[in-house]
Amino acid sequence: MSTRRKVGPALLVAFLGVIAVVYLYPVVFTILTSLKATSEFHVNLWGLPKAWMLDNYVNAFTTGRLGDYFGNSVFIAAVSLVLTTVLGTFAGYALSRMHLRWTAVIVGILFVLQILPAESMIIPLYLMASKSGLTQIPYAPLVTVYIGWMLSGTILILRNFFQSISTEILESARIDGSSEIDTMFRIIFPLSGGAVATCTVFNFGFVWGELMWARIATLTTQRGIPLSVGLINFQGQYMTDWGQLTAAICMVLLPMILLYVFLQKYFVRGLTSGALKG
Amino acid sequence: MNRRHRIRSIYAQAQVLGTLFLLPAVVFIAATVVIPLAWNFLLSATKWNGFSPMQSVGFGNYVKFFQDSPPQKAFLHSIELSLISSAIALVFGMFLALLVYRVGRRTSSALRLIYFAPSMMPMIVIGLLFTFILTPDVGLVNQLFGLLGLKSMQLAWLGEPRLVIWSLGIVSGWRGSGSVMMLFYTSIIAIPSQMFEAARIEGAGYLRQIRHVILPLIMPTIGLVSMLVMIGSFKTYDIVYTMTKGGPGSYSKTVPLQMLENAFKYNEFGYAAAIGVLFTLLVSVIIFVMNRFAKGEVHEY
Repeated sequence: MSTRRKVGPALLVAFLGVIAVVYLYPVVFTILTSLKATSEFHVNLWGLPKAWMLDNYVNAFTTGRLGDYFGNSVFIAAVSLVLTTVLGTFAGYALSRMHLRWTAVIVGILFVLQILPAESMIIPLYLMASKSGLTQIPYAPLVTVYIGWMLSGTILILRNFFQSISTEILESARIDGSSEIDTMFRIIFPLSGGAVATCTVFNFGFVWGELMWARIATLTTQRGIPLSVGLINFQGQYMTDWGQLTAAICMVLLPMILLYVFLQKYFVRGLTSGALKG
Repeated sequence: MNRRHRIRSIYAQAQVLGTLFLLPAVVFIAATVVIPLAWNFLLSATKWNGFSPMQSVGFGNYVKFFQDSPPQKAFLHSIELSLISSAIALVFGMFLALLVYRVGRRTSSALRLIYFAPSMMPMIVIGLLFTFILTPDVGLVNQLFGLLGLKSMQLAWLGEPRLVIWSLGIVSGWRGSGSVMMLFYTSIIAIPSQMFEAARIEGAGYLRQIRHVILPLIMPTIGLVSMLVMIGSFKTYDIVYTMTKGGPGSYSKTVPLQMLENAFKYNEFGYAAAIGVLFTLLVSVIIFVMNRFAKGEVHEY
């Protein structure tokens, strides 16, 4: 017990620094490998690339369809996030400030729905999507299902936020004859930037990496395949070509890293508000 | 009187508008969650290959499950993987949170950001990175053991039946430790400083402060986080699919992989639906039990 007390703060920081290296190293290693020639990879596994090169990226884009996958994922993420945010904001507001009946019941149901594992619904979803021909329309099955899956959690988080806005402001606006829509656009939405950003950042993480539904929904098509499924195809085709595979991994990571560096507080907030939703 | 009427009519208006606002979201959720969920129950009572007419079999699929060993093994693997990864995430996350708190808010901000980062990366990326790191010949782990002269430790981490679940569990737990650290850290810094002062005056070291101040006070968070981690740890599809596809043999095949195999490889949609229902039941029971734990004791401060 007393030995712990003797460990100086500097030593503790150093120890935590070593752990940080372990946490960071896989990513750094991947980035470095993606910039090395495959021939160099085998002789110079650990070091920095002798010649920094983008050949792996060029190859992955030209022969590996990485550009297609990336574009598809960007499109799917953009459409589903915008729609989820818009629908979620309206629904969340309705459930917090519109005096609806059964609000508590609906909120309870949403809470249960958002915990349910995807395994509990994915087979009927596939049957529905394929029998209705939805799987033949590029992007449609992914966008639709992602919106439905993300909405419950998004509504709950946004509702929680709207609940925290003082009722007095809203009631007085109402009595002063400000229309409901006016109140929303003039008073509520300008205040909710942070809450919306939190949800969006978190939802983006989900959409960007989702694999199970993406694979099933694109089983019978070559069009509209997202990055997550593309990455698995890459793994199958270029198992030993670490250069191209790591380049593809870096392309998946790139937007996440950018978001993480610039919007880190929303990631943390998303984690805590997600955890305390109930 | 007039004023009250006006308020009432404003409320009525708000209700109509509110229903309209809610409707589109409800339609999406119904179509992609509620209806498939209900259909999954119905489907689980049928035998259907996806094309020929459905045959009702009642509880037949469930009876079959209890006589069919591969899906039972898949449940076992899911539970094993979940326990290993949750335990690692919770213990390691707590360890990091306590150390990071000790270092102080300013100094540790970069560290926290780094520890939290893997939790925010897609599981498929983590899976592929570690397939790479655990590859027997050129993988980092075995290279490292080689450099340290530990040739006997250069194992096929994902190729050995007795190791594979552990390897997957450690990777998945490692990824989860970042968010666990963040959640515990957030609740530790919310403890009022007076709570620590009393302990400090009595000359209690950090270890005793942990035992007598921090841990008791963040108990509710520990319960809640454990529940969240357990629920999350049953999402095994991404990591297993990217790292082993269920192999070697079926030694790391978890429920989602087994279920999709029954559906898409053997065209047993009814049976796959029944596996889905049983899996949902398992997760629900765990949530229920953990929830009981989580609501154990709550300290007010």
